Amino acid sequence: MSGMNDDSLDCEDDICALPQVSSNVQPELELMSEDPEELLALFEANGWGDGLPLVAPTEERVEAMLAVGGELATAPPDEIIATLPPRFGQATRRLLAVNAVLAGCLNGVLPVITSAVRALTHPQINLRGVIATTHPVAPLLIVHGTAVDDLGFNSGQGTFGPGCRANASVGRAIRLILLHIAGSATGTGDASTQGQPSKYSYCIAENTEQTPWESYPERCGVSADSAITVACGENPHNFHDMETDRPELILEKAASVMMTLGSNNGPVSSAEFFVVFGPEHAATIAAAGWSCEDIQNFIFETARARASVFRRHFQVTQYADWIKQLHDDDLMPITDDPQNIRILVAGGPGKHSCVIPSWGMTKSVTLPVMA
Amino acid sequence: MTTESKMKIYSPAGSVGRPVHGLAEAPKPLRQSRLVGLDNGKPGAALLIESAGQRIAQISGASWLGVRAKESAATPVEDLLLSELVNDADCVITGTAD
Repeated sequence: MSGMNDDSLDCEDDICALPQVSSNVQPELELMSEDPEELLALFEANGWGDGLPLVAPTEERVEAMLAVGGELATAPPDEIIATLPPRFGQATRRLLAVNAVLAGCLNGVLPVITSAVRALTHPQINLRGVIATTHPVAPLLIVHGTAVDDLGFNSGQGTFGPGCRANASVGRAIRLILLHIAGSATGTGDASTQGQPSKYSYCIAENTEQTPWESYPERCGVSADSAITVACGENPHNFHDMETDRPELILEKAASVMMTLGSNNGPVSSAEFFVVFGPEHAATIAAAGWSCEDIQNFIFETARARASVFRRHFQVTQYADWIKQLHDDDLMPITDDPQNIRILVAGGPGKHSCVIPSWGMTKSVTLPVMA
Repeated sequence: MTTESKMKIYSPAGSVGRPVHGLAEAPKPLRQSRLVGLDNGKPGAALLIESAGQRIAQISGASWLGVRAKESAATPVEDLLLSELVNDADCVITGTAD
C-alpha cells in the first residue's frame, strides 16, 4: 500500500471527499524489460492484478491515455475524482489512466471510465457493501449513446462477451481500479465466497438502434450525447423464447427467472433487476403495443410468490412496510416497485434475453459521460 | 543489464484518502466494564453475540447490557447508533460478515 498523502489529513469522512489536487505522481516502479512475465511477477508480489497478463503502464502510455482531446485534455490529471472504499484510495485521473493502460484499453475511453468511477461512489451504489459482501456481485458498466460507436463498444451480438476490445478492457479497467485503488482484493477487501466470472470484466453497451422505446438514459431523465450506467449485480441469467409472438409469454419467463429464492433480492424488497432484452424479444413486445411501463407493471404483478414462501425462507429481511403487512396467502412481489425493474435492449439476432438480479442493497446510477 | 535499460512504470494503487488508524488500546480488565453487543444483522448473529456476551460478562465481572442492532447487514452502522455505543459502552462485541 502506498504511503499516506499529507493532503488527505484534511479529508472529511465522506467517501466522496475530493477536490484537492494532490502532488504530481511519477512512475516509480522499475522493470528490466517489457517481458510480460516480469510485469506479472511484480504485480503478484505486490498483491496486484487480476491474474491475467497486463500492459505495462509506462509514462508514455499513461500520457496518451490522459490526452483525450479538446477541453477534456486540459482536465488536471492529478485531480482527485473520488476516494474509493474500503481502502479509501484516491482515484485521480492519472491513476484511472494507469489502470486503463494495464487493462489494455484503447486511448479515448478515459471519460467513460472516469464517469463510471463517479457513479460507483454515488451513495446509492453502496460501494463499500458491494465490495465487502460474501455475495458474488460485480459492477456492470453499460455504455449509452454516441460513445458506443465512437469508442468501439459492442452493443450487438455478443455484447456480454467475448470478442470486443472496448467492452472487455473497459470492464476490466473498472475491476482493476477496484482491486488496486479501492482495495477489493479477494480475502482482504472482497469477501465473495465463490466470486463470479463478471468480476474479471463486466461491460456492455445499449443497442439504441434496435431499441423500440426511448433510450435508457432518456427514461432515467439523463439528457446527454453519451452516458453510462453502473448497476451492481450477478452474472446475466439467460431466458429464451423461440416460439411466441405474445409479450406475456416472454415476460412470464423473465418473471420466473426473477423469482429465484436464492438471489439476494429475496430478502430485500427494494432490490433492482435489469431485464436486458435481445432486440428480437424487444421488437415482439413493442409490436404488440407494449411500452416499458407496461413491461414493468406486468413483471411486477407476475414475479410473485405467496408471502408464506418468503417468510419460510427469510427471517432477516429488509422489506417495505406494505409488504410486511401482507397475509401469508397473499402474493408477494420479488421487488416492491415496478420502477425497480430496469428495461434495457442489448445484443444481436436471436430470441434470447437475460435478467440481472442486483445484490439487493444497491441501486443503479446513470450519469452523462464527463472527463 | 545496465541501469539505463530499466523501464519505469506507474504503481496502480496510489495514495489513500484518510489516515490509516492503528488498533485501539486493548480494553482494561473487563471487571465492572459496560459490555454491549452489536448485532451486524446476519442470521444467527444476535444469538451468538448475546450468548458470548453473557458468558464473557459472567467470567470477567463486566456488566452485560444486551445487544443492539444495525438497520442492515449491508450498510455501515448508523451514526446515531454509533454515538449511543460510544456513550453507553466501554467495550462492544460484534462480528463481521456472515
